[in-house]
Amino acid sequence: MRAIEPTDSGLLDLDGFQVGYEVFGSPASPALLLLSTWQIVHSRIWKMQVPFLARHFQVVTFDPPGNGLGERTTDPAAFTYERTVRQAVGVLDHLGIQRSTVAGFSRGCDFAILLTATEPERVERLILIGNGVSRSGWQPQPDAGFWDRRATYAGWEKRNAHYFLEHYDDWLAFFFSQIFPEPHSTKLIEDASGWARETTPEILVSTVPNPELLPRLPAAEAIEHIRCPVLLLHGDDDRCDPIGASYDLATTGPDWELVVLEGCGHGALARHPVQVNREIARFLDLPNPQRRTWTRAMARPRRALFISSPIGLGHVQRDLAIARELRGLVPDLQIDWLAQPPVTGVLERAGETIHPLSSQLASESTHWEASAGEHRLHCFHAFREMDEILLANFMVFLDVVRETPYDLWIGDEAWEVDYYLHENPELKTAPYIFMTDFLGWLPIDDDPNSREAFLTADYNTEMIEHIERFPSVRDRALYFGEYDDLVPGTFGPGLPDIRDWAREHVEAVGYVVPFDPADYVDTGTIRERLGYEPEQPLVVAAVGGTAVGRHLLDKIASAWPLIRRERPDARCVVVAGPRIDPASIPTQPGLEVRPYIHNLYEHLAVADLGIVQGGLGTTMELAVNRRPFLYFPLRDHCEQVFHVAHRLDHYRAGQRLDYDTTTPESLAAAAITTLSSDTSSYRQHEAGAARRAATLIAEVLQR
Amino acid sequence: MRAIQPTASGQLHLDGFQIGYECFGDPARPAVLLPPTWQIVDSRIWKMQVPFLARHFRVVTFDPPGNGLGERTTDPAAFEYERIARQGLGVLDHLGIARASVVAFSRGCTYGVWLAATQPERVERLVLIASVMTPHAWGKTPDGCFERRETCEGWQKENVHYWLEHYSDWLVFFFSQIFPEPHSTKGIDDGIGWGLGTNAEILAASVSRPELWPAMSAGEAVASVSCPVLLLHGSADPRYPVEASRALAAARPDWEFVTLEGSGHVPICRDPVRVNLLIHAFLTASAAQAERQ
Repeated sequence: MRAIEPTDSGLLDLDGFQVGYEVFGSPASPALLLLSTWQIVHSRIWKMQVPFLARHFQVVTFDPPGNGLGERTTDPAAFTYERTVRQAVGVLDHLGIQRSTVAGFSRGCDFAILLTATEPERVERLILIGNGVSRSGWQPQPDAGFWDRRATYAGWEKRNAHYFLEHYDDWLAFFFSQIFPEPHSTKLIEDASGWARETTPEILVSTVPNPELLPRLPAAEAIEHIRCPVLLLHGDDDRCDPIGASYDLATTGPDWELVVLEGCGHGALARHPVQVNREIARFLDLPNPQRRTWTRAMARPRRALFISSPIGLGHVQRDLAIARELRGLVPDLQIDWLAQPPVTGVLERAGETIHPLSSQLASESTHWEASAGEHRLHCFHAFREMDEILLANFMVFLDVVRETPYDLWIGDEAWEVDYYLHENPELKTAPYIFMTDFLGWLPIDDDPNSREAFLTADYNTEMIEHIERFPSVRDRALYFGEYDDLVPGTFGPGLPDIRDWAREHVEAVGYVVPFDPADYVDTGTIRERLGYEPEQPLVVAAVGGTAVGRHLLDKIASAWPLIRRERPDARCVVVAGPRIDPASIPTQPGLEVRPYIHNLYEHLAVADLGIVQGGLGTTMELAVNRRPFLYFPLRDHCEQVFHVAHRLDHYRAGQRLDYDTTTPESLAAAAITTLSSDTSSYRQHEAGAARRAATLIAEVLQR
Repeated sequence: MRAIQPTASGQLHLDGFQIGYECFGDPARPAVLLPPTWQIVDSRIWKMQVPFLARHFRVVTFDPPGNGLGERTTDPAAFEYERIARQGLGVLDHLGIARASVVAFSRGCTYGVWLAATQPERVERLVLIASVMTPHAWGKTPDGCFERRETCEGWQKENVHYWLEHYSDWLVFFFSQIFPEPHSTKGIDDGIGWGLGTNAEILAASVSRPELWPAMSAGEAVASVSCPVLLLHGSADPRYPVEASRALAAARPDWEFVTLEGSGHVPICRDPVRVNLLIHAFLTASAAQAERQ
């Protein structure tokens, strides 16, 4: 999923070829044109900028022929720089945009400079990222060696027509490893390689500069024509277009600003998006609201920002429990929530204050649902694919904390906050509490040489390195559980043991449930309050807050007649959740479907059998209240398959079933056996975790 | 010791009176004029801004007649707002400064608005802090300030007869009021010290009243300002309440307005870091933003 969708898009025939464009943000905002670059990638290269900039600008991206939305052709005439610039202007004309800020990346800087020099009245300001143009010429310069066949191709010799045509994958691997030289850049390299596979080596060969493609206007002359303010952003470890070109341009005049991104490669816009976005925002003077308030420090109420992850509804219940305890310990504390649906619905019902910028958050739940198959969700891949959404949401977080000086930031699995704070530690301006219920990405693929094994270890390594290098970013890290609830084993080959590392870097506070288990021992009273018969066997089936559980509910519905045959007195309550249409599950004798149940844990607490997904929240609510239950970890979901399953085993709670091999018949058999079964062997849950978490958080506020 | 010393200073005879000025920072940088306010203090009221701003701008302060480096006189003509604003222009002329941003405080906001309204080519940007003026009036004459009273309680002490007899007590009262924030002793003591730089007779001659106000109406002046404007005002300003700036912001929705929640009348001294950052951000905002606004 993208973080935002275009508000307008289309294909245009311009200058003899078909181009595509997309528009984001309000047409009432000032226009910002993000130019195309070399056709080895397409306009999605701007994915880390578009969602942020679209909150302030009418952002236009376009794809000329060769890749993305542009037509595919090998006609070299399609790729002349002058034609590309005319097409860009054509897109602006089509959209009725007279004047816009123009940004170019890499070869896009050639286009941007040419456009500004030839159409100065169309360009407000100019942004050049990873620029290769200097007074000595356009970039890249034609290279005769490009057409020579060689016996071997070493390093940049791979930039060769024959090599493209014969070893395209290898060329891409080489090229993008040079574009993204920073460690832990796997996602960006995969993205870019994917975009490169949307075109062909034949097309790419036609786009490599020859004298016919380059503008007739000499670069030095074009540069002289530029009158608007210019921002140059350039990594000093740029192995594709070395920074020297930007040093040269920066001497043009006082209006030419250069920001050196030290330690960064050519692809800084994707690898260091927070800083690049902030520099762009600063250069463009994103207007402040006309009416603002600054509160002098000693007149401020004590205020915390709580960032609650929207993935599943388990987090918000425990976060509310912690917030309640925290208010008990720090009575004057105000809490604002930065959250998105479905979490905001729960918060609203609880009377909590939701920060208005929450509405600007890109949807994570929708992304997770879009990533799911039939009872299958590869949570690591889904998380990794969410990079654009996480960055977009971090930029919203930054706006929130720049506007309000909170005393404390609390993030419950607020991965975007945690990751980008470690990547940009100078942005930390308040104490920060990191909280999680799992630690360590583990590969589903059990081949130790699998790509997934490499990637999960790489992610774990980056996290470990982040914390070692910047230990003051997290003022406290809380783990919801006991150290033994953590999976045994290491973070990956050659990496620390997860439990050993946790003992040094996170504080185990125990598992937080949103209720006091002592209140649910007397099930008779609760049943009466909830409208259940005292003795009727009660089955509660629930699949969490997303639509991923749809197929499990269908399987339960198919098994129900078989269960009823054995237990005709039984009753089943199926909870569809906010994102599944209850009418899509047919009711049948003894089985009722409810769209949503407030405080579902109360119903689970009096159930004789729970049938649930392998999510941590629901299974632990059952385990803590010692209810019999069956659970189905989502396939490929490493958290459910490894972490939750291990924790439930540690509690000796629940019966784990495999979704794929379970038939309605075997489900019915398991249900009949487990219904009202003995749970006295469950490990006792230690109460008071929310209080312990709140105490540790309050200490940070009060120390 | 001051944090920085002026790079230039002098006395000038302008518009019939002697005034004093000081310049700070590199003369090659863009100019910022910090006009005076009521003569109860002098140009040192800007002491928390000058060293910071002088690192980025050529900063000019001046003292018209009545306090600081200005001559001492009780001639009411010396305190006419237009004359003081013209003296500000005279200082800029003397220094060869064609165009400056103006950052004004309290009564100084009237000078700033008059300058921006009547000399648009001389004023780049305008910051109005704790403005005493509204779109309806250049100021307010304190109730009964020329009447003789038996006793003066509270703001009744804003009374020329009381000043003549109890000047120190008036200064203590006045500065304690305009610094309502706890732990403001240094600001209050500074203010009292500056107040002792003049005397009750001079202060009496400078009381805000229609004879001193500009000929042009406040509303016309506010409507005529064409440069970008930033308003700053403390929500806890007891003497010159935030409503004045709120009214200006309502009359000119294009002006930026930052409420300083919990601040009194003198945030330039009491909350100097935030005020300095806001001034700097506003003065360095580019032309592109100005065009968009």
